[in-house]
Amino acid sequence: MQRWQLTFRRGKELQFVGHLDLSRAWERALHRAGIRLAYTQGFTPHPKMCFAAALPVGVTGTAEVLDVTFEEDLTAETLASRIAAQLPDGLALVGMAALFGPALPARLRFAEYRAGLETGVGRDEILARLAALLSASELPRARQRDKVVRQYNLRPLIADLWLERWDGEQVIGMRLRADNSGAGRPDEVLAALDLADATVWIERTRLILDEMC
Amino acid sequence: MTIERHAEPVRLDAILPKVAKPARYSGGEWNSVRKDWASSDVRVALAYPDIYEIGASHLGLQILYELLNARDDVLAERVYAPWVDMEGLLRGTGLPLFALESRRPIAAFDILGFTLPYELTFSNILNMLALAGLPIEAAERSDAQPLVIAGGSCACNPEPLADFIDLFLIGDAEEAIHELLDALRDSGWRARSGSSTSRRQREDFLRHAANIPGLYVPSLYGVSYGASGAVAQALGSGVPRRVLKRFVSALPFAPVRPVVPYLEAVHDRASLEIMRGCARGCRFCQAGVIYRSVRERPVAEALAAAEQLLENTGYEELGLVSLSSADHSQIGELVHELGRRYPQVNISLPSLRVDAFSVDLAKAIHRRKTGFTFAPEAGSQRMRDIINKHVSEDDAIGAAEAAFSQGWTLIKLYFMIGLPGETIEDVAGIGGLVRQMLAIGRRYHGHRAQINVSVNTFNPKPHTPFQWVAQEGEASLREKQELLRRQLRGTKLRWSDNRASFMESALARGDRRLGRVIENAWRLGARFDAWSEHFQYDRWQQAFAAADSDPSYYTHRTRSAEEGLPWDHIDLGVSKAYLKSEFARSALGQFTPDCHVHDQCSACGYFKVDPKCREAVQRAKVAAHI
Repeated sequence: MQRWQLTFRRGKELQFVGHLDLSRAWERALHRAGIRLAYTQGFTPHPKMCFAAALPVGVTGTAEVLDVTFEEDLTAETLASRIAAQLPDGLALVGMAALFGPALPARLRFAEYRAGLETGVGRDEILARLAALLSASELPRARQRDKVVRQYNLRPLIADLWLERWDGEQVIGMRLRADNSGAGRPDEVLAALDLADATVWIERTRLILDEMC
Repeated sequence: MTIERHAEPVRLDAILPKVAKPARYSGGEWNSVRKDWASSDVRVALAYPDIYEIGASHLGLQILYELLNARDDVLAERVYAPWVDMEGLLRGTGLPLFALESRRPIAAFDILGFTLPYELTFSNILNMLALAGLPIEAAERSDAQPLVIAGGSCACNPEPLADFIDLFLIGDAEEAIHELLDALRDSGWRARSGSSTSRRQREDFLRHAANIPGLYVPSLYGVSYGASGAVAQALGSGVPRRVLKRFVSALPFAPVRPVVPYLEAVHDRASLEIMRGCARGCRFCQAGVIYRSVRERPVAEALAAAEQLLENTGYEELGLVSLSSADHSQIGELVHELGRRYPQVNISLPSLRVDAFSVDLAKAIHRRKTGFTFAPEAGSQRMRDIINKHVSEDDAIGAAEAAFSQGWTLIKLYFMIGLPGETIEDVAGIGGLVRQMLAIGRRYHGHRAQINVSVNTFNPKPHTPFQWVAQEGEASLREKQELLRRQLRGTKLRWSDNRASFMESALARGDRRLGRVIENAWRLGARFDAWSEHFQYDRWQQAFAAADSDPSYYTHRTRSAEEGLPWDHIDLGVSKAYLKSEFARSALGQFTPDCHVHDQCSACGYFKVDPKCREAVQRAKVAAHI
């Protein structure tokens, strides 16, 4: 048995595919690749496969992480070439590494996002808004899920905000908490910046794992 | 010079984020085929008149998609009925209905082909035509608009849709569709270069196509209505009087590269057709007539197809599809071998006969993801004799014993109520049978054992021995449903909406005059009538009234044996004389054997269609003389 960390890109073609559907798509791609997956024991065995973090619908990702265990021992090169041949448009393998230790979701600490904007707001004003959000001590927000409205404080979920570019293309970056105390949502941050309507795309660029455990 | 119109892909970026399940419309699935638009001579949009999750599992469309895209000169793309949220956005933005692969407007294709899976999708067909920007009336479409064709099980009575569809394909499509495509290719007519002010090329082509066996062009037939019923007559000399269905004598081609949806489809698995047709001769069953006669896929061929299917899709479940999979003469061997080769793959057998299910078969299906589905259909022996469902209570008990003893905890059962001659005692028999089967489950699994019961209201269908009978009325159906509810407290019991069933029945046995009714209903907002949250009986009643029509004329009226039936000119090979004799035998509870199993010809008339039957008829004649 071999446990691997697969890093992959989810492009625009698949931005509307939900997390469970993406998981099934990966499982089927691995079946097609002819790699025998390891299964859990029990009444309804399922493949030992786990994503570090679900990617929200509508968001693309350049370095998503999947933890998967195979029955057979194959080299990284063999696996990578077999897998790559079976991935649909919108999925691409960008890295493979042997994996040890606790499950990835338990090791996840932060996620970084970039958001592309289209707005008449100037560079100074944007910088001021970013600074104001970072210097706030509390950011009370309400979020509706199904019919329940939940009040929460967004501020502790924001680790950092920055301007990536504001010349022609308008892009801001953010590092948000993503651990068992909570996960920040990029669309919520953009709404708090009063940029919800200016958002053209959101991309997750990095998942930061605790390497010590 | 060919001028192409409005063929640019539809831009969906602004609307996709606003709909529930955008993956219904975004395409790009594994095995979806994107061909070069410009270099494809004939462009076909394959349409399913219900949502993506249902249509994606439809085997007929999987066959056609692969068959058509295998041709160099043809491009085939898919389109499903947009859910109401997407319809609202399309109407709001003025964007036309589009195909998933290229996102090009449906109106830019040469052929728009609908499959007709069940009658309650008819309003969706009109809606899809309208969303494509096409006139819903076939008579109003010009040479610049696609040829609109339809096939599938509801094509066996095409009359209610005759105003909207240019051409129907009756029977197996695998050969006839090529003849149709070749004819269109050779005709030189393409919607993309046709004139928007002329119908000449279209009409010429339809007249030509009407002579291809199995193709029915309703505009070339006139219907008169009178005391003798509905009588269709061919208009003009070159038009066949009756249209005989197409039949492929050996199961051709199993699709091995079906599109793998991202969304969870209703049948989220690879489907392998192991047999087509069923000759058991249940008297209510239309599929038995439509898909007659039995054609088995040999085990070696099925295994080869299964290997490719699993390799090409990565599915973890393989469904062995047919009308009655346990009737395949080598089903045990096939299931056993598949289990040996693919230990991680679930093998599922939809719809099983209780008399053909054994402990051996239960053992061979080694993984227990879902329960087994059996269809005893009726609760009493008397009733099962009437419908020619030749299974006994002992068979049902034996099937329950086999499934529960081999570790399954769930059995699903299908029954019907409202069958001809049915009494309340027959219905009470359902409760008795279910309780006996459940007692067996309790013995093996205690309270984990479960039986789910579906009770559907019987719909008399065209081309069956019951095509003349009146559907049962609402009051007595309710009484029967109440009885079942009391009897089966504690089991999961589902039944069909009687009023939706009445509409299904009216559309199934309707004549051409129902075209106005369907149009009225659609204009009143009918769509997704197969969905209880969208079906509105009042709307349909209003639609009938506005057309000076009454649904009970179609549903609750007993037709005389002499009456001309709207589908009499559609010949499925089974003769009316045979259907009449079967109807007479049903009243006496007389058994008619399965000719496939017993090698005993019942003279159903099918020798016109199947060459094998010709030999059987000869043998029967010889035997009669001896």
